[in-house]
Parts: sequence; structure tokens; C-alpha cells
Amino acid sequence: MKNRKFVNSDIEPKKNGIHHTNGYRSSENIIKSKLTNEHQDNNVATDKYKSIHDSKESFEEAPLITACLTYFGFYLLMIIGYINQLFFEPKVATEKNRDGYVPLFDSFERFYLRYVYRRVKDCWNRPICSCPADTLVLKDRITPDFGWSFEFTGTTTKCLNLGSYNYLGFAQTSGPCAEDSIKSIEKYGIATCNARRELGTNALHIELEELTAKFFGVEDAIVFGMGFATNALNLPSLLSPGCLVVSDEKNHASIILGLRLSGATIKVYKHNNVKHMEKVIVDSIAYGQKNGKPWKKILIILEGVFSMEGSIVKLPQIVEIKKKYGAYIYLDEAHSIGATGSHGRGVTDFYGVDPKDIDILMGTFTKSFGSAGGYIAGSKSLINFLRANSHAHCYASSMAPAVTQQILTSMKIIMGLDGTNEGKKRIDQLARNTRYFRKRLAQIGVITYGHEDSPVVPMLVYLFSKIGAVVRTLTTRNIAVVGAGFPATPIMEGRIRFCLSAAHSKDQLDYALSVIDEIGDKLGLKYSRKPKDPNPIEY
Amino acid sequence: MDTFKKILAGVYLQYEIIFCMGYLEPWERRLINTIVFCSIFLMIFSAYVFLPDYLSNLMELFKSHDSNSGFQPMS
Ligand SMILES: Cc1ncc(COP(=O)(O)O)c(C=O)c1O
Repeated sequence: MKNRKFVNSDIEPKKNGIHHTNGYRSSENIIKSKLTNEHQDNNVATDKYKSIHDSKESFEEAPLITACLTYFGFYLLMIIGYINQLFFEPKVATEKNRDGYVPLFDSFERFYLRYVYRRVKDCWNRPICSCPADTLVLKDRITPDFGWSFEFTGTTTKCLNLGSYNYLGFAQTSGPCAEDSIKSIEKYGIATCNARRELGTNALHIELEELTAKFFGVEDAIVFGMGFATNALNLPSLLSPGCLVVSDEKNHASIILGLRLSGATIKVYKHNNVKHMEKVIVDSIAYGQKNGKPWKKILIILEGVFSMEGSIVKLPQIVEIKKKYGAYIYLDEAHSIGATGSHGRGVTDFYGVDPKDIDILMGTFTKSFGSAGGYIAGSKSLINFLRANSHAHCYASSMAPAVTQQILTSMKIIMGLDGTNEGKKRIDQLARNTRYFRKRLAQIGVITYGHEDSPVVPMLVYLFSKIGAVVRTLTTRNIAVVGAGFPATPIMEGRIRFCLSAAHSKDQLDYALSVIDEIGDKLGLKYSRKPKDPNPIEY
Repeated sequence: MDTFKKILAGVYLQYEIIFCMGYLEPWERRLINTIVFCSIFLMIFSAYVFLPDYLSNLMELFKSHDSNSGFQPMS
């Protein structure tokens, strides 16, 4: 019966004489009818994941008054900025004797940087002078002219570090990782001074690629010296004009840059919304390319743990969709590798998805491994293709030996190949810290985004002025955090992003939480209207 | 007295946050403060001057409404 209904609606456009669209229309309807039928069969499996994981993820709405005040504050700053720009010469170098030249910089960007961002510049670009472990040392600085310039006072402040992506606490100045790295410098020197394809490959790179493949349980892997370049330079070699990319709206800048470079058609779906993604795919398949041809290939691109939202991708449902439509998945595990899953193998481990179902596993060594660089893991043929075609492989200088050794040693520790259970301990510690910190924050009554198990914890403060107020106040209380506001987030959603680490102890977290509780009352950060857990949270 | 002071400090802090005082230079702060206080003053002033008249007019309207049991336009 159902199918007949679709056939009827198929015929209708023909009556109206819309011939050129009707071929695609009908195929769309056929797909849709297939979809509704198949959906009912799949629902049981999907619902299981949904019910478990949807309840763990939270995105609470802001009160209306806060939204109004946020916009009010922002426009106020803009207006004052324009008044400033109108009447005063900026206190920075201005170009002179340059008649006939057009300005080098985009005017709005320049305005925003000079007259809005400048006022809070002391909360960003803060120089540190120590290892970014559980604590770090900030160099104190003062600004005599409201952010135009900074002077070092020569003193330093030791702060609790809630900002570095040191998820498993491998950023250390001592211990096996540091010792091994020093040994590798003695053997290989600091840099390789060449690209991988020429004289830049040494035994460490080969070993790292083999170990990475083993770590994920896939056939092969390739490593690059920089995580950002891994995305930005490999995507163009995989995609070309005529390919369809279905991309999450909160994807990282490196992914977006790579996609733009590739020239593929980009369709964006709502953040972590599987239904919308499926709709985008179905519509795109139905309509095809602009010239009417079918897509060359379809790539779904997403991150494991989203770095600004703290949400974990709904991988099992997406794998189902991928299989249904014959799309490929490119999974960026920059923040999830090491930090999620009981073995630290990222979101595939977290959900128990077969890593071979993910066609392209990308990630960075910058976060959990306390090092630098990126990898792509997958099938042998994919990696061989990249070895031949990737710009990052052919032209970029290869990974430095000490950096490579740091990854090797930390990865071995995570896998337990060093003969201890140190890696397991760190993963468990991180998981405990994450749960505890998130639950306590919920109890305090601030709004946090994201999944219960994600170590990235964005705390929403909304107002642009509160970002600066919180960062400054926390710095005076010896806690270093990272704030994020427009343009990194929507204007409405200014936030403080805490990154937890296995290196933090309960006492440190308790101290941070007590300070957050206190300033939450003072500055008014307790927006949450959810019921609070009256019982004390167990660590 | 102490609690009163605390409340006042809290209100002032919220005012500072809403008007982004922490980000502004002294002269900008003075500008905004002047604008805000001028408008509040004007509001209070106009309320003081005009509100009694308006209110008594309104009262009149209701009174006449009551006594005549029918709507009577004011004349
Ligand atoms: C999702 C994602 N991809 C890639 C990168 C870039 O990695 P790297 O810092 O190693 O260059 C980041 C860094 O923040 C990221 O969050």
C-alpha cells in the first residue's frame, strides 16, 4: 500500500509538465520509500544506542534575558568601537605614503581585532614558561594602554592548568617518554631536514606507522608532522570537484580548509544530528550534481569529540547510514584518540564499532600523546594512495625524531606494551576525573555542553564580558583556563572550555570547583534550570 | 547595613558586566555611565512631573465609568 502511494505522487509532477526535475523527483521518492521501510527494521538497533547515549548528552538552552543581554553587550562594544575608530588614530603602526594602495587587510576583521578583541586580549595568547602538565607557569604581563601593547613584569604565576589538551598527562619533563625522547635526539638529532619521500624517513617513522596501525587494528597508517596539515592537505588528494561532502557544522577549521581546497561540493548538516544528515544525503543523492550527473563519491566527515561542544559523535547510527547509502566516513579523532574508550582507542573503541567500518581514521598526536603531528589510518590501498599523492607526505618536512619517539613511547604505554598497567591507569583516571568534574559542575548549577564522558567540558557563560571576567578572576585565583567567544563560537554562546587531564588529582579538581562555585555566585554563571543532584558526588 | 552593602555591590557588579565595563577605557566608561544615568534621571524626573497628572486623569475616567454605568468620553 505504502509503495503505491509513492507511485501516485510520482506521476503527479508529470501532469504538471515539470519534465526536467521529475526524473530526480521520482528517484528521490523511491529512495524515501525505501528509507521509511528500512527504517522500521533498523529502528530497534539504533534505538538502543539512542536511548543510552542521548540521555548522556546535554545542550541546555539559555534563558531569554541572557540572550538579550548578550546581544546588547556585543552591540554596545561594537558601537563604542566605531566611535573609537572614528575619532582616534589607532595606536599601532599605520601605513604612510601609500597612496594608491588598497588596504591589505579585510576591514571588518581589522576593526574587530582592534576595537573589540583588543580589550580582552590579555585573556588570550598568554605566554607560558613551563611544561603544560597539571600545573603550568604563566608569565605575568601588564598592559599600559588597554591591550594595544603588553609588557612583561618579570614575575611568574603558577596556575592549575585546565586548558591544555594534555588528556592522558603525557606532557611531562621526566619519566619514560622524556627519557626516550632525549635518547632519540642523541641518535637522530633534532630534525630530519627533509620530506618523507626524499631523505626524511628514519626507523622511528616506520615503527610509528606500524604501531599506529596495530593500535587501531587496521591494515596500515601514515604519519605527518602536523595535525592541521593532515586534514588540510590530505582531503584535497582524496576529493575532487564532483564529489559530495557531508560535513558537520561544528567541524574544525583544518577540515573546512581542506574541503575548500579540494573543490568538492560541501553540504553541512546540523551538529551531531543524524536525522538531518540522512536527509541531506538523501536529498543530494536524489538531485545529483548541478549538471545532473550522479556524485563521484560521497564522504561523511566528522569529528570524534567535538573540540568546542564536548559532544561525542553518534558513530553507530552514522555507520548504519554510511552502509545504507554507500558513503565513506572520514573520522577526525583529534580529541578523542586516547581520551575516549576503555583502551584509549577513540570513539570506535567507545562504541565498540569495528574500526574497519570507518574508511579513513584521522587523528592528531598533539593532544593525548603530548607530542605533535597527525596520522591517517585505514586500508593498505588507501595509505598507499596517500603515500603517492599526499602533499603533506611529499613536500612537508617529516616528523622530528624526538617528537616521534614521544608518540612511540606514550602509545606503547597506552597499549600496555611496556609491561606495566600505567596506560590503563591513566585512561581510568581521566574517565573518573571527567565524570566527577562534569557531575560536580552540574550540581553547582552552571550549564555545560556535551557528553558525560567527554574530557572537553565547555561551560557556557554567554555574555562576551563574562568570558573576560571569568578568565581574569580565575587567573587571580591561580587557575588557567581558555575562553572562547565570537568568532570561534556563535555570538550567543561565549564559553569557558575546561580540558581535563589524567594528571589532575581530586584535590586540584576540588579546588577548581570550589572557586567556580564561588565566582558562579558572584558573576552569575548558574544558569541551569535543571534539577540538581542533592547527594554528594563520588569520585 | 552590611548585607545592604553586599547587595549593592552585587547589583553594581551585574551592571558592570552587562555594560562590559571591564573592557572599556576610563573615558568610555564615563560616557556610558553618563548616558545611563542621564536616561534614568530623565525617566524619574518625567515620572515625577507627569505621572500624578496622568494618574488623576485615569482615576477620573474610572470614577465616571463607575457612577454613570456607561462609557463617557472625557471632555
Ligand atoms: C578536530 C581537530 N583536527 C585537527 C586539529 C589540528 O591538529 P594540530 O594541533 O596537531 O595541528 C585540531 C586541533 O585543535 C582539531 O581540534
